[in-house]
Amino acid sequence: MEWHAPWDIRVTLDLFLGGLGIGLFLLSVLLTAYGKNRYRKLAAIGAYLAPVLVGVGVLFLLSELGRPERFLSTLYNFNIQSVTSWGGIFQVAFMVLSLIYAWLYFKNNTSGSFFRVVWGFGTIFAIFVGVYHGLLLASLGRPLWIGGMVTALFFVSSLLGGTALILLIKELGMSWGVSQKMAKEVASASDGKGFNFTVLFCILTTLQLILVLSWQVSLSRGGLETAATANNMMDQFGGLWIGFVLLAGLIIPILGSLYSLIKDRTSEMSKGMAVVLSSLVIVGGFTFKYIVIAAGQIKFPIPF
Amino acid sequence: MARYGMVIDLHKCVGCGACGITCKNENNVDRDIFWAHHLKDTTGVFPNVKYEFVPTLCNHCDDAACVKSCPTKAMHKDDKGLTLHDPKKCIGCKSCMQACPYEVISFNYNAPHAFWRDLASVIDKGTASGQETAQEVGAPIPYYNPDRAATYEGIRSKGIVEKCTLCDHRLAKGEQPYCVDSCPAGARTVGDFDDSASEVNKLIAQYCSRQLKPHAGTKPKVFYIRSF
Amino acid sequence: MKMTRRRFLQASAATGLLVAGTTGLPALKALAQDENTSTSVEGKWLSTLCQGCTTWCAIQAYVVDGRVIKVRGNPNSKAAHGKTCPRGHLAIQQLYDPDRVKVPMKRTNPKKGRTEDPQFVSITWEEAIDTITDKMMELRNNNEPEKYLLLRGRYSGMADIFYDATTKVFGSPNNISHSSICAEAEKFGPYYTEAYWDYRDYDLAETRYVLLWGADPVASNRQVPHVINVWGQVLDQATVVAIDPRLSASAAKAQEWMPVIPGEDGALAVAIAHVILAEGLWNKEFVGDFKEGVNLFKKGESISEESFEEKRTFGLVKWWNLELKDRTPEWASERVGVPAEQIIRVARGFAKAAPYAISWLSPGTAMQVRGGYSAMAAHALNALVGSVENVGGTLRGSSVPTGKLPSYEVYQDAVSKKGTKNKKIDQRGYKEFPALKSGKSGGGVLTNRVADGMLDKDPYEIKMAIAYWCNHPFSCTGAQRWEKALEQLPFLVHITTNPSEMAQYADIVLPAAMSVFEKWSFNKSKANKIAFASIQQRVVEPIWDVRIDEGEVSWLLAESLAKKGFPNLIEYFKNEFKDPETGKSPTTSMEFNMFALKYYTQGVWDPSKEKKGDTLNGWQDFVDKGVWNSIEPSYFKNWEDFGTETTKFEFYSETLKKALESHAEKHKTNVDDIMEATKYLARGELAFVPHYEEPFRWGEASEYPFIFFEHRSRLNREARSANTLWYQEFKDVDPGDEAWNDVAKINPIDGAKLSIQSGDKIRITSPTGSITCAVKLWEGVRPGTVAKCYGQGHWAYGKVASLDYGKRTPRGGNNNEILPADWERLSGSTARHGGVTRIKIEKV
Repeated sequence: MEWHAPWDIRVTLDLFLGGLGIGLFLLSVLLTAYGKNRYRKLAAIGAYLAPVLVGVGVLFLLSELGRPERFLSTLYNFNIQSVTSWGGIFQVAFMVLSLIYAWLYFKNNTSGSFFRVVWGFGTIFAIFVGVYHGLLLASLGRPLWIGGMVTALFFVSSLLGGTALILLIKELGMSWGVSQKMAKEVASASDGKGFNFTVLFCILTTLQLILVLSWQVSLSRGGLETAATANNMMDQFGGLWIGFVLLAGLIIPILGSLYSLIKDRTSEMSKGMAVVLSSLVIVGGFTFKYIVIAAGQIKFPIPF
Repeated sequence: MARYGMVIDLHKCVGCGACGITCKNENNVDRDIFWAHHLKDTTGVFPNVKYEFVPTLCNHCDDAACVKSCPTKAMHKDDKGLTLHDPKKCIGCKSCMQACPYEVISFNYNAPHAFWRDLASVIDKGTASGQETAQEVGAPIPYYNPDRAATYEGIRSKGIVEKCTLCDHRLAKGEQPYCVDSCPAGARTVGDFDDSASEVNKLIAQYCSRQLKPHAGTKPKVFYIRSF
Repeated sequence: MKMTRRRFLQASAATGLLVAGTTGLPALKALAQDENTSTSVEGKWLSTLCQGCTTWCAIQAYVVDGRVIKVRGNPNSKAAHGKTCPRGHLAIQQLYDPDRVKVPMKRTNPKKGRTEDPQFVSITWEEAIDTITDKMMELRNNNEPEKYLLLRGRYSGMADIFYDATTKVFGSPNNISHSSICAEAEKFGPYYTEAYWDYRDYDLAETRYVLLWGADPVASNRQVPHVINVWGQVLDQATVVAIDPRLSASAAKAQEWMPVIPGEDGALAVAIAHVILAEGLWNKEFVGDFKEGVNLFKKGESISEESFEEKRTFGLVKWWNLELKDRTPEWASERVGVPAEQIIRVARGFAKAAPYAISWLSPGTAMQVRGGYSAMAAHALNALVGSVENVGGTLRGSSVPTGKLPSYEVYQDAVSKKGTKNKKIDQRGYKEFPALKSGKSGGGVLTNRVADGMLDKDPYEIKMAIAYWCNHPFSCTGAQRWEKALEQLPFLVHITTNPSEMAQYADIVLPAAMSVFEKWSFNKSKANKIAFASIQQRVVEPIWDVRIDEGEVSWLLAESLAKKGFPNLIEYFKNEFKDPETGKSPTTSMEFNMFALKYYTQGVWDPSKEKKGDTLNGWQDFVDKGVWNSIEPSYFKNWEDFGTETTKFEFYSETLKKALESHAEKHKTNVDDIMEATKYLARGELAFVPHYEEPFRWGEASEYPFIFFEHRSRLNREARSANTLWYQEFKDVDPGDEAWNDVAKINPIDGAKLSIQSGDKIRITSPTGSITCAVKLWEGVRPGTVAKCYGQGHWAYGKVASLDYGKRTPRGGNNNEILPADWERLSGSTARHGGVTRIKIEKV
């Protein structure tokens, strides 16, 4: 008779891929705002990948459900108190908006007022979805997830993941689905001063490190149950946590990007460094979400 | 609106497990799923040792976390204040299991009661098998209780959760929950906490009572009086 | 009946498939949904009797559409308050056990052994009975009917038909009951003090102090539902002291736990007696007083017998002089392992509660190699406080007016008369096996000696055996001897519900009606001051081809024997068991069973018969109500004459002296020699008073550092419930135990020494055997001792009980494979308690 956690890795995959998706979307939105033409190629790739990642995540989530065929009932049996219910709405809404947003990019129709409406609402729902991920966990009241910090952690992790992914795409020069014409435009516009990915990268990793450390400290002072859960998390996943989440996923990327900025604060990281650090951040982000979700479900004896 | 709940007298309880066993009997609960179960703890050092046994079940919380977390209102409160589950609405997301502070909601990972569909017999043609026994008796489980199906799926299907209903089907007929009836110690009392004259209110007025994890804030309605 | 069921199933299956086809859901769910819409089916509560333990509670089964759905205590039963303990419910899963033997089977592999597949094939009842009576007739024709053996297991009030009459009319003396593998030594205590060879009842409603000598009454034998029901109240009004090497279920609830070192109970009992006497706390009304009114009981000092005038007792001063004077709490403390202060506190508390005080004896204290005198000592405490047959004390039961087996003597022919005169195979009455039941040398059964008798062919060879509802290769200590004995037994018939360990050695396996729900019979028992008779009823038609062991099988054998030229038995049955209502002679096995049942119970259901208890309006009323309750017994009933040699409650047992001397005389020797032969250390007069004996243990401490002791489970239906899911799922309701597992409970200090942790697998080895099981480090046992529950470790029986039935892999290990076969020889009882063996532990 073995106890198994109610949620297996498919929920992690949903929250991870969903996080990458909305991160990418928000980066695409940001780049669109920063310089529609200059970053057209990257913004477009972000726009295309966002619904794909969120969609794949949702598919994992559906397969985790006992009755996936009833998924849409979350819309008509909507429970106003349930973060999961809200999440359903947000995800559906975001999927629709991000698909339109991608379609408009594909059609190169990014200057009309319709685009701006989609751009605006897409941004709002991307944020909703990103916040929903952590809020869902926080709402369940389990000791590791309680207290609201998980919401911020998951959201920043998602933004960071999106940033790292776009950096990776940029450095590896990926250009799926982007027309030659668009690619040329991008090339011609890329000379002058532009958006500094390294700064964003450095800020987000630093922010996440601060959040993670404050979270861990607050856990250790969060009462018996919370502290016990946190200790259990470190007992079970301590190596992974320190190695992948903290060192590889945050500290090394911070040091790397900082080094690059100190050397020349206007230029970007070298290609090699960007590829390596972005990959580390993505792996670290996945590990982070995996551990928090797995360890949060650990069953403890009920005190009496 | 009533607020049904339970008082368990731990002084009377001897920790025999009849509540948990008969619950499975009444509600056609599958192997290794427990609607009613127990916590147990041995503390101290020999020879100064204390053993405690605390029977558990759904607390039918006034402020039920499972109800709040359920995305489809499958988990809901009824007019007796019971926390009930609608198997037709359940999407099997298990949010309720995560939200419940008491681990009393279970998920049907597989088609239930595989034991009674098993074809293996230890002596070919000499001993029976699970399926053969169920077939001969003519029920999905030989001791299948049809009464359960009056208010819930008689056997809950794969892919949804299930939990204690405080035997709402028996309460509806004016009967006590089966665990109450079958407790040989008479340690369990069920009643309406909104009724000031109810036995449960008298008991918690007479003794100081405890709840499990009151700090979880769900306002549980299973009260424990005296000590094991 | 079967047709209807099958049709119902076919219909449901069809609907199931249909729904499954459209939604992809399993058929089972469809069925459940079907039932959702149907209104609930009205069922009926039918009375029957639970035989999960020997409380033998009157219960009722809820039957819906020919199926048993639920069980409850019979509300008409005053003995159990209409309650049942968890065991009653497990019976349902026993009834519908998928591993039940459904048809008679015969063995086709002549080789017998644990690893031999018997290669059973199904046969008809006719062929099975025919084969059995062929063998029986062969014995009769060879003029050796004594080589037939009947092994009785869990039996009913009608057992004598099979056990006594069938065996004796056939011509064998060898009807051997299972009784002494888990009882009997306990009865030695009250018999050799107050001439009562039975379990006592207890006046719990009035008591103020309860000493539990290894008894765990909220969990196991006897009167479990009654005790559970009143225990809260008992704890409110009385002090409960649990004397048990393990933190038992009752110890967990008790105000005091005295974790005695296994086997040292006797030291504690005599020390409590010492304190009561030395402090002048005995009950003067029952025991009497010093003529001068001054307490002369002083530590270490002998006193004159004339100085004390006894009332209802005999031999108090002799007891003091011979044993008690030096048995101080400090002396006992060293042996028992509990502080002297606690012994004094308990002795004072117990005595001050007099006479509302119970010294509750159980097999734990008695069934030890040298446990006979501990049983006497523990029971004698009741006399010191005057609680024998007193308010709030120990009671005897009321009588239940059921019938006796009609005499069969005239149906025995020369062959059977000669055959039955032979000695019994259990060696009872041998010099080293006095088995002094009710004062008679060889009066009691030595169940577990049968294996040795068979192996040694002493007094002679056994050629065939019929065993019913017993499982000796599992349930007897030194279980491996039984495996050997059965391997070499030429012909074994086993009547059983499950393919048990014993069935693996059988030549013919007969499917038994499951006692609780498929058998027509009755039983009587007592609890809560009420003696009662309860019907055991076939509440549902059996789904398998079963017969009722005692009634039906006897008839079938008799019928077949008659065809082969021995009609005596069937004539006895036909002539002596006529329907009391119609006078009709039985013509079928079931008719015989029913007539016999009515015959036996006529005294309780026939309104025209005088009786002290309920009045029932005839047979059907008995079946419907299910139980007949006696009146409460009167207190002080035997105070004038206890039935002992001296008519008094004997502290110096003239009754035992007479029994021992007559046994010695039979073997032309003296009592000292008998003491030596029975492994007792007492010599001289000490043999006649309750006294301390150093526990006898197998194995040297140097090689086997731990003392092993076993205990009972509150879910054991005599080790038959281990094949039910609910048993395994809830095994953790036994304190310290784990669900789906078999754990040896070891103190964490020893765990650290052995570098083992909870969950580790270990091998436990005693001087006679070895098993493997899991570890549970637990504070509820003393360092240096290891406790393990009996009931798991089946290597056969079914798919749930064993880990792998086909490979003979047990779930855990059977205690009886490490417990050496030994006896409390004065009672004939198996000595399974008191740390009879030392063990060693290795991690595997």
